[in-house]
Parts: sequence; C-alpha cells; structure tokens
Amino acid sequence: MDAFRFAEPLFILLALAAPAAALLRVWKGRAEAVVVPHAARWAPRGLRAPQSRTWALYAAIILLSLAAARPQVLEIRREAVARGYDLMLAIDLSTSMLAEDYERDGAVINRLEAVRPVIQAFITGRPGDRIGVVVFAGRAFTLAPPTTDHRWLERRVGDISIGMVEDGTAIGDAMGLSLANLERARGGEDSTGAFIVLLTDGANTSGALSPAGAAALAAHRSVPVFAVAAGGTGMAPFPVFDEQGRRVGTRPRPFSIDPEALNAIAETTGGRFFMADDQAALQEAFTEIDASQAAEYTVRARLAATSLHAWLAVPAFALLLWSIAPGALPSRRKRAA
Amino acid sequence: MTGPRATLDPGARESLRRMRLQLRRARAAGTGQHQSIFRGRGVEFDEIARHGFGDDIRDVDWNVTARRGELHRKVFRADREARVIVVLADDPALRFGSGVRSRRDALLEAAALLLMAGAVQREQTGLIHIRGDGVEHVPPSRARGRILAAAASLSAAPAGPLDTPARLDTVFPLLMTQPLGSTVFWLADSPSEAPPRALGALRRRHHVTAVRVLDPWDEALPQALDAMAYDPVAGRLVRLQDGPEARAAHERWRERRERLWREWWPEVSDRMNLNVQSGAAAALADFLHLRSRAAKRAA
Repeated sequence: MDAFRFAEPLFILLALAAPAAALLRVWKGRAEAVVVPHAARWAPRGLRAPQSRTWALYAAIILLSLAAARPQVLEIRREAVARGYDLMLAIDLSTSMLAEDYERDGAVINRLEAVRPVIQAFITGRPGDRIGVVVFAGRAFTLAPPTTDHRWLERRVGDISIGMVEDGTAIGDAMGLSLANLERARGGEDSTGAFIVLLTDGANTSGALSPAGAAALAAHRSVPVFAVAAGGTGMAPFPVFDEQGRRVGTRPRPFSIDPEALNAIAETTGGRFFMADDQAALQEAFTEIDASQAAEYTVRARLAATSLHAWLAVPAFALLLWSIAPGALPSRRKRAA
Repeated sequence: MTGPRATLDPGARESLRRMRLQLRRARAAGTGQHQSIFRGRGVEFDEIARHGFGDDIRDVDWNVTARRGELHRKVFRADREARVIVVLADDPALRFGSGVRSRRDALLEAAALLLMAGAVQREQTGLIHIRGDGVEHVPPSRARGRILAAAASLSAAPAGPLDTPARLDTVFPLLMTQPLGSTVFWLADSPSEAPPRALGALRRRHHVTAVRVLDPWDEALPQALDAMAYDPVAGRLVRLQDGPEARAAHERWRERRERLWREWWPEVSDRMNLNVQSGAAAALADFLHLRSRAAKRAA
C-alpha cells in the first residue's frame, strides 16, 4: 500500500507567506494608477506588469514551501515469495586449474576457462535463485554472499583468477564456509532447498575442516552437496612460467582427483557426484544440478520512500525566475479612476 | 413607460439650450417646409434631372442615361420626418480624459442632445444604450416626455464595469429590425478591430453616422510622461513613460486607429469627431446643419 506524507510538515507553514504577501499588498500596496484605455499598446514591450507575474510569485512561494516540507510517497513493499534455490558455488582456484585438458572450438583451454562460462550461464539461467560464490585454494573465502543480483555476480565470477589465493586445495573449508553463508542468508530457517555445488580438480590438501567433517555438517543441516570433478586423472598439459611469471611453454604433468572422496561427500549429503573430464560432461553436470528441486525463499519487506520535492521545486524556481525576470515591474494594485 | 426623473446640471441645460437654438436656426434656414435636419440624403425618389458638375456620381440613373444619351441622375427628396436611433456603446475605453471631462462625458452629452433634438423636432426617436453585457433599449417614439426622460436617465447613468467591454454584436440584430432608412447615430470609441460583416448590411439598411470623441492624448503622448496606468481594454496595469519607443508605439496605434475608423465609416459625411474639451452641442448642430444644407444643394 502506498502512502503519502510530508517528512518536514512544519515547512508547509511557510506557504502562508503567499497569502500574507497578498494581504500586505492589498493593505499597503495601493498605488495611484490612472485609467488610460489602449495604454498597453503605447507602453513599450518589457514595461508591462501583468498580474500573472504576481500570481506566479505567490505560486512559487507555495510550491517552494511544499517542496521544503519534503513530500514523499511511501511504498510499502510486501514480502516477495518466490520459488528458487539458495545455493553456493564453491570454485577451486588452485594452480592445478591451469591444466589445459579442455577444448573449446578446437582450442585448448585450461580448466578455469572451461568452467567460468558454464558457471556464468548457470547463474544467468537461474534468475529466481539466490546464489553465492566461495573460492578456495589453500584457504577459502567468500567472493559473494547469496544474492539475487546476478549481473553483479557474473561480473565477480568473470574477475576470478588463479593465484588469488595461496595454493592448496581446502575442500573442507570451502564447504564449511558455504554452509555458513547459507545459514546466514536463511536467517536460521531450515535449509530446505539449499545446496552447494563444489567444483574442484583435486584432493583435499589443506584447510582446518576435513571434507568428511564438512560433509557430515552439511548432511546434518540437510544441505546436499553436488560435487563436480573438473578435468581428469593422469597426465595433462600444464603451462610453464619463468621467474617473471611469463609463460615459456607447456609441460605434461600428472594430476589426480580423489573421486571416492568427492563421491562420499555427495552421498553423505544427499547430493550427486559428477565426473566432468570434458566440456560436454561439465555442461551436463550443471544441467542435472539444474533439475534440483526448487525451494521457497523470501525477500524481506522494506519501506521505500520516493521523494517528490523535485516535482515541486523545479516549477517553483521556474515561476520564481519568470516573476522576477527583467521587465517585470513591481506590481501594484490598480485603482479605478 | 415613465423614465426616471433626473435633474440636468446647469452646464447640460445650457448645452441643450444652445442645441435647440441651433436646430431652430437650421430649420429656419430651409425652404420653409419642415424637413428633418437629421437626414443627409433623403431616400424618397423625387425626379430625374440632368447630371451637372459637382453632382454625386452615385446618383446617376444609368438606364435613363442610356436611353437619352447624356448623363441623368435621380433626385431624392429628404424625408419630412425621420426615425432617429441613438446608439451609445458605453465602453470602458471611453473612461478617459486628459482634462476635466472624459470621452464618456462628451458622448453622453452628445447622446442626450441628439435625443433632445429628436424630441424637439417631434421625430420618432429611440435609444440603444450598450453597457457591459447589457443593452438598454428605448424604442423610437414621438412622445417628447418619454424621449426627454430617456435623455435625462442617460445623463445620470453610471458607468459600466471597468473590465467588461460593451458588446457591439448585440446591437446589430436590434438595429436590423428597425424600419428601412432609419437614421442611426453611432456613438462609440474609435474602433479597435476590423469592421464586422454585419456593419455592411447595417449601413446599406440605414443611414449611419458615427460619432467619436478625441482627446489630446489620442493625437500624441504628453511630454515627460511617467505614470502607472490601467488599460481597461487590455486589462493590464502598465507604466507609461515618455520616450522614443513609446512615441513610436503610440504613432503606430494612432495610424491603425485612423485606418480602422475609415474602414468602418468610409464616407466622410458619415463620421464626426468631437473634442473632449469642448462642448458637443455646437459641434453637433454645425455638423447636422452643414450636412442638411449639403443635402439640399445636392437635391
């Protein structure tokens, strides 16, 4: 329901200046004026003092007073109920994500480059969800808490790069941080409809919380974890950099994923495990995740006040300028001869 | 109908006396037959005569001229009596006079004098007084008392509202119902708009004489003028200041006013100027007398 109010109602009293000025003009502003028919045709342009300028001045005073009282329309937005997910994307940014074992349009790309557009498309395709992002390597930190501002979120995902976090793979910490973000976003409500997408290419090597412990916690909170293993096991081309950080070549390097651990996490929490060793499999994994059950979430009601003072102040200043513009004589009260 | 009794002030009495004197003189200067002094040219056909130098070309009878091979003209006889209707457009534009009297005062005097003259001459005399949105109509009558009462009432009539112009459009239908060939005295301010279409029909039906009053300010603005003025025509308060620009504007207005005056009343003999500073009686009597004599000469 919309409501109208003046934030500073006392300023409305200033509008009384207009009738006061009119009364003063009547009381003291009488001036001799002779009746001369056709005189307006003799008076050069610019010396006329039409009554309209006086009325414009009064109107400007009243409008300015009302503008100073800060009129507002209060828009009371009801709590919006929507169907959607509350989900956290936990994205691995360890250096192993540099492994170039993906292809797109015939070009070799690394794992992060393969994952990034899929994640962005995933975000775009879910306008009703609150989505947050946790990135992790040796440590985990929140890139974005759960939000419905998906444009902003896509930009943030576009900005992530390997090396932002010290190297390592803290899967347990990432899951724990994701759970914390979900709990905070839900405000203590139950976690129905909340889940975590864990995207990693390695085994847990660091962090304070073990993946199994984090999985137990997630299961306790009924938050399924969908684990996506990016890349494959075995040898994969890996870029070689010199001391200045310039890429100088590519060298095969062994990689190993711990699918059992990831599968255990998924099973413990009621999620699923996906092995995405190519682009199509990655896309398919996210498509399947997309089929998860939707959940209700609420947006807190808020009171939006729209100020209307500009609608009054602008015409008021225009009237004021016109009423005191050059050529406007001090208006006087006519007296019939 | 009895009109309100009004006492004429000594000045008006004197004007009336002079007017009556002028009228008697005008009548005495005639052939001895009683003819109306109000008529410029009669409308009754009298005879056909040869066209001579100085005769009005409008009177040429082209049928007779064609038959006889030389110019002949129609001769009209002035009516023995005329139906006189005095129209006074009591407009706010009349309420100005740079001297003691206003244009309205002068036109009221002229209207009253014309009514009194009609009464004296026993003409059927009537009055149409337009003021603001209203019209006061005294139908033409020979009853002297009734006409004089109308004149007295008119002299005492208060001015209309300053912001309501006289509606001239109301008078045309009224005049068109009057008998053909009536003599109409049109007392008003100088026209400020182009002549309405109805004016042509009016002038074809009746003999209309326009009377206006000129003030010295109408001819030129006084020097060193600096005054606040209210223009009831425009409905605005203005500051009048002497200066080249104001004088040029005034001159443009004056030229337009004269052009419109001539457009409304093309015949010189149909328009009359009174001076606001001098009495109307002598000027009216002279105008009517001269025009009556000119009509006789033409006949």
